[in-house]
Amino acid sequence: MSKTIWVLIEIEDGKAARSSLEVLGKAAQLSRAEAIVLGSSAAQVAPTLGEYGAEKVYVHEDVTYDNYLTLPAVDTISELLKQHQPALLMLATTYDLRDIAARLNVRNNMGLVTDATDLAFDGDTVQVTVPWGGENVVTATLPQQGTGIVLTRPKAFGVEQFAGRTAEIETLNPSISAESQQIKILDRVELPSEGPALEDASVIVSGGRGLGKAENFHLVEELAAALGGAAGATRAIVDAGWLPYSYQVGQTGKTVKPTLYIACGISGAIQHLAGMKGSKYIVAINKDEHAPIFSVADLGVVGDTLTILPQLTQEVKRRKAH
Amino acid sequence: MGAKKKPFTQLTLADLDIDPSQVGEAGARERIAAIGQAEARAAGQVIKDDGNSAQVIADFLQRHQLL
Repeated sequence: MSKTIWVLIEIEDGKAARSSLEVLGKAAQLSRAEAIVLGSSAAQVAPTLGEYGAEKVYVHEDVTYDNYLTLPAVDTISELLKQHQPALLMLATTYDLRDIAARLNVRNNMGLVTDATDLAFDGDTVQVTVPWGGENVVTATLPQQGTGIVLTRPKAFGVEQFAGRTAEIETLNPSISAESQQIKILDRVELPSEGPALEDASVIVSGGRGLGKAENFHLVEELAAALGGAAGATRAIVDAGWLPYSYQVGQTGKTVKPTLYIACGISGAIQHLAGMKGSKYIVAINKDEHAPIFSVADLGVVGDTLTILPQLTQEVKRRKAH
Repeated sequence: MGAKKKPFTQLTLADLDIDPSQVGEAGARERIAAIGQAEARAAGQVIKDDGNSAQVIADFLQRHQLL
């Protein structure tokens, strides 16, 4: 009998979150994938998960999951683990899922590997690939007994389509304890940001300190607009207050994997590279020829960002018009 | 620094009522099987700006069908 992998699906705006679908697709490529979906739109999301790889979906439509932080989900999954023993629980790396993973691990004595970029079954063991210290990768294994948990990095996998697959739906009816309803969510506020969302953009133009001052960031935005992409930023200029956090690319910001990433006035600190080096093509403009960004760039230009950027925007517009 | 003068008490697992098989290597459910080199991204071409860089970049974008 093939091994079963569970994937907890997060809901965003009434739909399955892209990050969760990436994980579900990978799970379905590895083995039999089953999804768990909890919350107020759960019943609506569940039937859509077959085409993203789920063979079965456990559903509990209950607003409690939306109103209280993580603990109700930990209760329900712990309960489900008493009835079934999947080989693995795979989760995307998000604030809530990280929290859920840690709590499940302790409560059920499971075994947890975080930050995975790949995983595979080797006989009965799960081999998990984890980048470590920039230049190394660690292969970790989880116990053969019981269910292990793996948190995977954002954008480690693409969303996969499984045309014609329909998931069997099982409606759960767990009891959520009163203890798990203590951290109440009072309000949700969305940070507004213009242009396409960074994580979904196929072209990203990012700026860093090399732009000199906040007033020059429009040069980055104009090139991004000309290319139909999104504008991003380094932590340095977000910390300096030039832009809101929603623009930040890197280890403590967003992980992106666009087709094209243009780095403008960015030296390429390892924390920034961690968030963008999976991009298909990287172009870098920087005045320091020793900047580490050039070590990952397909095309690097040593020169003045403020001079080259407007010229490039003009040239892109000119060629697109033809 | 005041912290340096504070008493330093060393506790054992028994003091904390922790089963030694539950902590440290014995208690770890994860194992490291191997450590290897990450695949490095090959560096590409680096040019010095001679006033013509916008053209060079646009050519690159066009060559890779990014325009």
